[in-house]
Amino acid sequence: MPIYFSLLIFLGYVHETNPIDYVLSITGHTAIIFLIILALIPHIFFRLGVNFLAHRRSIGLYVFIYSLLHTLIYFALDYQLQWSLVLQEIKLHLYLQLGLLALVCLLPMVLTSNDYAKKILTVWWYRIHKLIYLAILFSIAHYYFLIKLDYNFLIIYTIIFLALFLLPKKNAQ
Amino acid sequence: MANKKFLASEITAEKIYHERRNFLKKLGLASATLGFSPALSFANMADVKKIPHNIKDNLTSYKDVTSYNNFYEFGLQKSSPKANAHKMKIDPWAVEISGEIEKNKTYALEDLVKLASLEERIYRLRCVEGWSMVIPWVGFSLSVLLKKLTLSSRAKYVVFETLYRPNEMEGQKSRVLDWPYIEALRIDEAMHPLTLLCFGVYGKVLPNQNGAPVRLVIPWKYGFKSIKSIVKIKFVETMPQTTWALSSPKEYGFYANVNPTVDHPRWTQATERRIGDSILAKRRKTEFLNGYADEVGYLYSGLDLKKNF
Repeated sequence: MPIYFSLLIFLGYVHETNPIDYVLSITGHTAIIFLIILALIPHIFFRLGVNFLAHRRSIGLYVFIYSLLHTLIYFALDYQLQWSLVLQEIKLHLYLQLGLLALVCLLPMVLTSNDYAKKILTVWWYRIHKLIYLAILFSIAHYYFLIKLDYNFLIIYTIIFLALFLLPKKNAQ
Repeated sequence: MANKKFLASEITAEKIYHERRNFLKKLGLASATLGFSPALSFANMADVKKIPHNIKDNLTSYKDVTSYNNFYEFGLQKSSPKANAHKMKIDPWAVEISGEIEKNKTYALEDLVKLASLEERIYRLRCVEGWSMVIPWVGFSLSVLLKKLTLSSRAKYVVFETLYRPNEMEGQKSRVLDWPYIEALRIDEAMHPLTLLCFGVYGKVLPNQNGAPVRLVIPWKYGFKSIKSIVKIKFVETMPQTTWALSSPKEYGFYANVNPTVDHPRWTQATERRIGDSILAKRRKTEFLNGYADEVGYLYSGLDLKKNF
């Protein structure tokens, strides 16, 4: 849904005064929300008797798609691929460095998100997929260093993130 | 004003200026007969003429100017001011002036607006968050007011305060900033002819969300310096604490001059996105003092702007 909505904004069907900023914000929030839902699956949903384990792969791909879109919109629309400007920005701003780190954390998980990789990596597969906690940490930090006064979402994300460590986890077999 | 250089883009064509002047006179006349304050009657005009202009950059649309801004007294989203500002009562309105002056004075809005004839000024506005607009404000130089007052020799800074009324300004119920909002200028900055005491935008009285009924516009500083809905003006001797500088001293300084070489930890100051530009347009390079360096640069000669940001 957020993708279609973003498209409507970019095509001018929905008026947004600052469309790039707005779409960066929805894709960013969507990515982090899916990421947190993903991490919650083994911690919470199994207690509720909801078996979301089978959906982890597709949710994981949503996270990656939205994170990638978010990053590409920044590079290609906001900065129109002016790489010298982009590099300068990354050099100066911690929030950009943290955002990129979060994206880098997602990569090994995406690349090993198939059955074959899971089979040959055995225990290493689980170790690699613990990167999700690091990805959430970097995403939250990325957001923290960007916002000005409105900490509401940040507080919600952080509380859920911390709750993950208090609730025992059940892994999919 | 006459001996400072102005860019062609900053001034209204003379013919238009006189048309406007006549138009405003008529409004004044109408208000006298109807018993409204001039500023308020402005809003009641059924069909306000569109004002042609001769600037290179397109004006930001009235819709964008009046629906996308920060006015945290009404909430934290860019859409909050428009959604919530109608609750603010602006009639009656008065501005109290005190501090290092011969005699304290209170101006009712209707007297304040009559101190000089209103002019249209098309200014660029650069927000510290990295976006910008081009806006046709209506008002007159703040210096007009300052010259009517007898300042003491100790008056080095002038401090402005926004209305504090949490029942009407719901953002003030949360302590995100230290209310009431305070901004300040050095006296020479305040006396500069570009510093506008503003009552209107786009030939209409200011909508509440843009800081009605009276605000400042200081085009070479980041937008947060241009304080809205002013109720108090005070002259002081030492550099005062201002709201954003108090909230985060490492991020916001007293001067807050637009400066592409002084970066902000959260947003780039090297470039800006002009509201209304296509999504395929490049960001624009931010100019030193927002492009007003020829006019105001002398105010800061000898000052290290990296330290005094």
